[in-house]
Amino acid sequence: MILHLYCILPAGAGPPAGLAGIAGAPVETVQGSALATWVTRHGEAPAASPEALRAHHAVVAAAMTPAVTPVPLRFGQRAAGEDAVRRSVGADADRWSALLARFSGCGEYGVRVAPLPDQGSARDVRTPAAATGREYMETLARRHSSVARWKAQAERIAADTLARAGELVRDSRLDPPAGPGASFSLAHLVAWTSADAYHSVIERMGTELRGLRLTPTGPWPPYSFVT
Amino acid sequence: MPDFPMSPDDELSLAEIVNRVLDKGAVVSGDVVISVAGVDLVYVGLRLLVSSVESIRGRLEGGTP
Repeated sequence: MILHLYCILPAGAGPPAGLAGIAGAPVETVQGSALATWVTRHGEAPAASPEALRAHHAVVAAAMTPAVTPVPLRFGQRAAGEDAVRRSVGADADRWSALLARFSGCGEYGVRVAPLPDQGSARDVRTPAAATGREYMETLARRHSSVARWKAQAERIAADTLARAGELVRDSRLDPPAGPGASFSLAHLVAWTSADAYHSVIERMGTELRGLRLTPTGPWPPYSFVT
Repeated sequence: MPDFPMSPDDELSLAEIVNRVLDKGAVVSGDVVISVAGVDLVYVGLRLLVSSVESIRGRLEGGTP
């Protein structure tokens, strides 16, 4: 029997009655001295199917309450039994406790930023065939420059968002774009009590940034803020 | 404030979930194993790396090639 791990919470925090995880397995709590870990039992390790990934996230999301925000665990962590869970989690107990304290009363909100379809300058993702080596190198240089400009713009937008949101955002992360014209994401750790004001800031930014579409997502468990 | 208990929005794209659940979140033990099509793939193997280093060091100290 393998235990699949979902999230870490303060000791005593148990799942809502009837909560099921991957493959419909009932969510159980492995209690430690200061921390609790939500797990499910399986005959073999769950595969990373879309259904399993959604089920994993659903369990972590179900752990969120106004007062408790769990430490979300990455999919794919397993243990041979409850003692192994207690040992693994207990080995970094101070770190998990510090994160729980930091996350309490907060959630992660995301903003996906993408150029609007008619913004040609940022979407030169195809490079023409080069006839000579010099042309090939010049094409690569132009592409590199385009990527660098787009990444710099992403960083400016991330900084601008923080400047506008001020103390509404307790922490932030930028997932940079993978290439020229590719979308990128911002992650913000926001107290529940500040969520409405935060959304007003993002909505206002969306109307002011020309050529870009801002799509808010969340709230999420704070996957982006565990490090 | 959101409604509690939170339930996943059915409209959430799988890409948003995958990006967080597979690429973010805390790692407890240093070994994250993803099973795909019945094959276990080590996604993050810090403990394996440390074990390998120790094994190699032990062989060097023992004079074993």
